[in-house]
Amino acid sequence: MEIKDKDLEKLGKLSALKIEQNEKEQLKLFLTKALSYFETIKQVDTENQPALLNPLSPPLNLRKDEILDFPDKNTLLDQAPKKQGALVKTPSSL
Amino acid sequence: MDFFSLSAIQEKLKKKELSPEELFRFYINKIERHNPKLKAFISLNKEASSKNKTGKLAGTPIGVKDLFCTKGLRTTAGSKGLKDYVPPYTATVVEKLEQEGAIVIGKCNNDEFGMGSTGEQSFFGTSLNPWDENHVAGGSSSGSAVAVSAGLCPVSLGTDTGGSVRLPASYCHLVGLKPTYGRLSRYGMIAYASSLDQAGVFSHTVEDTALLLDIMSGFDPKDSTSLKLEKTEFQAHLNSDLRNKKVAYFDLDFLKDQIDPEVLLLYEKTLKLLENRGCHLVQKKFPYLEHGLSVYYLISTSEASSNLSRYDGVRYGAQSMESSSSLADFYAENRFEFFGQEVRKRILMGTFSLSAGYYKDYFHKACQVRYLIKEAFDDIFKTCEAIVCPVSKSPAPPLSQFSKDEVSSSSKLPFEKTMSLLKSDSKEISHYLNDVFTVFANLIGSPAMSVPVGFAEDRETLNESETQDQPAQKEGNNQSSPNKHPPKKSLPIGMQLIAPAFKEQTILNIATALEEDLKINQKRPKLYQ
Repeated sequence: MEIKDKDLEKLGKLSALKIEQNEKEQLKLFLTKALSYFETIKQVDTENQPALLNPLSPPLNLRKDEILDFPDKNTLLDQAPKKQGALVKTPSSL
Repeated sequence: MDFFSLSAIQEKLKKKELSPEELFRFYINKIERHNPKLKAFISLNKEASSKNKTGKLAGTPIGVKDLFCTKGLRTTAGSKGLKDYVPPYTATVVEKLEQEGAIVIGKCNNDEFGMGSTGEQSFFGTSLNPWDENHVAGGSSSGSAVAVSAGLCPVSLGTDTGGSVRLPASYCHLVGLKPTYGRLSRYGMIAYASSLDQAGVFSHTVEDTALLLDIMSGFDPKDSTSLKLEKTEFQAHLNSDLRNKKVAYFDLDFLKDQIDPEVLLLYEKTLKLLENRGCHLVQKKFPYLEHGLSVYYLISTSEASSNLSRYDGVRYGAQSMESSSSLADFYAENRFEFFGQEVRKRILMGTFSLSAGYYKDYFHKACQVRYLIKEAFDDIFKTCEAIVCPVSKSPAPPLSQFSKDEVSSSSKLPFEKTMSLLKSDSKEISHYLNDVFTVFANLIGSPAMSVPVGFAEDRETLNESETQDQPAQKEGNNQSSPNKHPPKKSLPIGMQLIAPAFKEQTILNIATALEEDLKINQKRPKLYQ
């Protein structure tokens, strides 16, 4: 499969990645070549085979759905570039 | 007092022939002397206290890959975007080592977010191979391997998603272990591909690796994929008696034009040693060899595109701008500034294989083939206790070889069959092929290790690589183009041992036998002795 300009543009949007004009050709060629390489797996007959998402398929050991106290909340809050009281202040989304 | 094993260090400390402070200062001094050139460490923890440490590792300095969060100590993941990140918590495996008295002496360099097999994709410069500084150290845990190999710390932690511990261990003459998926907690380990990532260990001796594994193993409620297993005693049960063990090997003669002849020679030598030890060697076909890398890269890039979506300048990561005309542009701009080119390439690839219209043919198909690969290896393990095969198709490649492998606009599609890509003259994506023998253990969740078995004469000449551009946007990458190095330098080669899930003891025991026969932990790079 050949990756074209519109494909790359779409991938950039889906990935939330800016793509500069001067790297477009290189990226298109890389993706096209990599996909050509990956397409060899189409030779493998996988009809009716399950998809393995986790190598050992263990039961997930999930914690109880309860609030646990983080010992040092202020240090966490200090990670944010901006805060207001005990809240993280994010850039406007509008 | 260079290159002690952990047991030797502990003995010296207990007999008070050496104080923890002296030991710590010794390593700090050595790091300060060699790190500007080797770039093994990104950050040093010079103010760490070595007083009042108790436990099995009391007072032992360790290196930790910069993908593990360390409270109060900068953790960059080798990325420009996290260059100022100081975590408020410590990864579970590091915490367990600290509870046994280990001291994190510094954070080791690595390919950005673990994405690379040479160490050349770090924002902080390329770690050099102490055996020959004109060659790569291997990646992605490049700094962790260099630090131990050059004697800048006695042991270190790495992570292994597709070979990132085993490859640098092989290139740097170290024991390198990737345990079973789920044996060690991944909490606090910055994620690349969550179904493949696992913490791992670098050391000079098999015994040291077994000790660290014992300490770090165990269920962690903070990682839902960590497993509730019995307490391990790998170190106590090390046993080099291999009589009547059934070990599988692969006939790789059909790849003799693509694999370095000295790798094949040492493979044969290793098999002979195992046979002399009383092993029954069973020849098997390497299952799905021609498809492993495709499956690995489709799955790992897909998981990476999801895992790394959090770095948008709001939830995680620095903001490169105050505001933008739209939120989408704000994210895109931040992420462009945040990630290096290799990471962005992999995110784009992963996004493609997860996108509507292509998911079924790429990501889902890869997961189906992964299932078949697991079945095929399970089939081998029905009759054999372990598999032995090369770690890599060659010893450490020269520096910057992979820079010239970047796709050029004049390149054509030269390959019709996957196997042709194993040829060393296939430039387009050849640096992805270093992992060809290592990705399988990650895909099936098995433990695997690299054991040093010998050296190859370096027949490479640097010629073209002297003129290659270094990857862009490096901080402190002050290395000049490598000088033409003298020929016939020796480069390490490792062999890989793979066992069924939870059977680390099997490969640790085989490695112990090889260690005894080959005296592998007695060889050091001359410049750093």
